[in-house]
Parts: sequence; structure tokens; C-alpha cells
Amino acid sequence: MSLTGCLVLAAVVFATGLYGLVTRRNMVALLLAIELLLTAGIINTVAFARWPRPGADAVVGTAFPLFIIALTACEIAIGLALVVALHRERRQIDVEQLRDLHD
Amino acid sequence: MNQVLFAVLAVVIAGGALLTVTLRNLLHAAIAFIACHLGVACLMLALDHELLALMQVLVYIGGVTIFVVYTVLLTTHLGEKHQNARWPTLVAGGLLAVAAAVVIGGAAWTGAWSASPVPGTRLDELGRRLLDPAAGGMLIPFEVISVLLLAALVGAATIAVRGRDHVGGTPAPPPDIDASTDRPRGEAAP
Repeated sequence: MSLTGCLVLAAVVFATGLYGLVTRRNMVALLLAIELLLTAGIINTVAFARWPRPGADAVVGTAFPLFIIALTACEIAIGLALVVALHRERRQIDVEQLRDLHD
Repeated sequence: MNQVLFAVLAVVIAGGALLTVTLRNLLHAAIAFIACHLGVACLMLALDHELLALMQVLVYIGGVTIFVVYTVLLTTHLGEKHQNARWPTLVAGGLLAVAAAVVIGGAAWTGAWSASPVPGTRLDELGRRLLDPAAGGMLIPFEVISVLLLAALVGAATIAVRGRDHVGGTPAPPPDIDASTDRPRGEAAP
């Protein structure tokens, strides 16, 4: 277990989320992919809090993931509310069928 | 021992993430998401950050996943398989993911990082810093994030119930919906 290992693991999780963001068509699945991107950020931050630069403030590394988690909760609440509203209006949450939203 | 533990956790986390973005049944994807976040919570325990492990379980497994499962059940039919993109998009997504992993992972691999771990922050110390108004304290971000969370949840509730107060009480269904199957006309039931 080392800082490099954690950072590489976070990079893999980030890349996986990116793949999902490109290939998924269901909006709920897209939100799950965005969650994976944010999870990679949390893993990175905690790894840097465990192995900080000498003289750095390790408390910040512990507090920052709390803020990321709160932002994640905001994002998923708004996102899923939008999905429910879209489904009510259109009966459709497939992003390829919703191209006319930008008109 | 430590290396073995990290290898197991890395396989659980990366495998859960991969299943989350590839499984075509969204309920199965949500279960893979739970496995991924259980792995992340265990990783945080191993990194000596108990509070963050608890938050992962509470917020992601207890909150986000339940939200997602509710939305999946509200918007799709049980056991429905969802189409992913066609193969050119799959190839493009795979290339993009590999490029991102190589660039970020390569930067992480070659960086000269500190190798001496410090013990995790104690909970009372973290609480004092979060509510400390002096320089170096995090009182203002803490309060701002509380207001943001409140605003987001009220906004989410407003968006989600907006359709109910149409004139006449119930919203008129869109005209291209087949009332007997609750699906767009011409779309076959699974």
C-alpha cells in the first residue's frame, strides 16, 4: 500500500467513469458514471492526506473529501430530480432520443 | 500483508467500477456500485481515515444508491436491459479511457512522492478545524456547503413534483404515449 498505488487506482477508476460517460445512454447510468469520477477524486485526496508533502496540513486532506461528498449528494439529488421530471414529460430518459432538448 | 490487502481492495474497487459502467441492467449496475464503494470504504479504513469510511457507507451506499434504485424503478421496467452506444462509440470511449488512465496513471507513477505515512486526523481536531472562524479554519466553506445542500434538496423536490400542479389536477399524458403499455407508440414491450 503506497501513495503511488492509490493514485494509479484512482486513475483507473476515473478512466472507467469516463468510459461510462461516453458509452452509456440511460441518464441514471450517466449519473452513476459521474459518481465514479468524483470517487476517484476522493481516493486521490485521502491518499495525499495519508502521505502528505513534508510540512503540509493533513487536516485539510481529511476535510476536503467531506466537502466533495456533500457536493456529490447535491449533484445526485438534482440530477435524479431532473431524470424524474424528464420521464414524466417525455416518458424517455435515453439521451440519444432527447437530442431535441437543445432546440 | 499490506500489499495483499491493497491488491484485493484494488480489484474490488476497479471491478465494481467496471461493472457499474458496463452492466446493462441498471439494478445490477447499482449493486456493482455498492460493491465499489464498500471497497473504497475499506480502503479508507486501511488508510486510517475512519470518519471518511463511515461517510462513504452512509452517503454512497445508504443514500445515493437508494436514490438511484428508486429512480430506476420509477422510470424503467423491472429487469429491463438498456442499450449501450453502438460500437464506434464504444471504441472511442475505450480509447479515451485508456488514454486518460495512461496519462494520469503515468503522472502518478513517475512522480516523486513522499513515502512516509502520517496517522489519520483525530476526529476532535477535525471538528475544531471545521468550525474555526480564524485563519486556517473552515467555518465559511462549511456553512456555504450547508446552504448549498439545503438549496439543492429543496430545488430537487421542487423539480420532481412540478408536474403535479398542472391545470385540472393531473398532467395530461404526452400525445404519443400508448396508454395501455405506458410506452411511446411503436416501441415494443421487452
